[in-house]
Amino acid sequence: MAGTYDLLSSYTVTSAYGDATITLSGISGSYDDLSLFVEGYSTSAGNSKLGLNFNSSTNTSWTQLIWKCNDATTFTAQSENMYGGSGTVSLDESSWGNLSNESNYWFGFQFYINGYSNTSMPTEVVVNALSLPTTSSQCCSGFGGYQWGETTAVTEINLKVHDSAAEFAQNSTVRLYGIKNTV
Amino acid sequence: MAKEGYFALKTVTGAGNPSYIDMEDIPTTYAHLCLIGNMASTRATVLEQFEINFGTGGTIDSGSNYQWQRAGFTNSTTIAAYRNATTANMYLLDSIGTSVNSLINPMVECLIFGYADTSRYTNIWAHGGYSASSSAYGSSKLWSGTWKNTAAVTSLRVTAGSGNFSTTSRLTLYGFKG
Repeated sequence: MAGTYDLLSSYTVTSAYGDATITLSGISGSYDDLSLFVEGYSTSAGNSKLGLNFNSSTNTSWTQLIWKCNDATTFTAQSENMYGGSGTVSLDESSWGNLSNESNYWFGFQFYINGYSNTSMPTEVVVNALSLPTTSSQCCSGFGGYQWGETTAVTEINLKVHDSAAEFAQNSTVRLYGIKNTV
Repeated sequence: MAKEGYFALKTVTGAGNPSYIDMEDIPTTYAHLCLIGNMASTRATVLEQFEINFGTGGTIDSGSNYQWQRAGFTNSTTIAAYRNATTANMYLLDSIGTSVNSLINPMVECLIFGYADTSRYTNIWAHGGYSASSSAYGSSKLWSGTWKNTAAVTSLRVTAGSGNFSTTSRLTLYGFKG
């Protein structure tokens, strides 16, 4: 596998007050796909969500379907901006929650970003995520799919924590890998 | 400058039919791990679970220091969820049971987040399952869990429920460069 899966960027929140947003810019277009790991915890005890956007776009281009287990024993499938679906339409970013607020119990996300530099089709994202702190209202684990309906090459990734003025807590980390599928 | 970031660290098989498979001396120089495998139990019993434990300093922790949550279905089309907040291991995958089929190995992909970071606990996220020839048998589940210990993970153990691993079982551990 060596040589096909490269570490492109690594970032750790150093501020004791946290970071409201994290931006990875200057992403090389020389890979087929990207894999993004996001870990940490929210500075807010509210029902925080992690938001993902590309290129700081303000267009309402996101569609998402999330299959997740909240709290202890309930699961839900949530779709937004799906064809023929209901709920919120015209998302300006994709999002996921709930997030941990506990410093020992970090949330973990892996985003697989498919065809991010292919300008002939939208970019699809598969997300795997978990948050399992002791507070049940901050628990959430599952997976889902996003589609960014723009055909612009992704050169920038924007991450933020929503709700209750939440931020990425100190030591939260982001790592971005580039993947070449050519054999 | 890009750096290589995804490495195969260890591969272990079920040769000899052990009741558990250990991976030891895991280097702590990676950011995350990924365990990918296919495995079957020698037990005829349907619906036993493969379990995972972590260890440090050469000792596997079998104390009640784990929590896990799962959602999915087994042998039905009804999706259910469950959480166990204090337990001695984390469920990783359903076993199919040789009474159903001895040629199908359930498969799993398990991400192990921040296993070497001693500032917080280690998380796992896993999905896997199997599809048997009969419509009455199938499993597709998501598991997530936490080892409530801040020590760096240097070993892990996968246990075949109450049985042994089939000789066709195979687990590979990958490391993501940090």
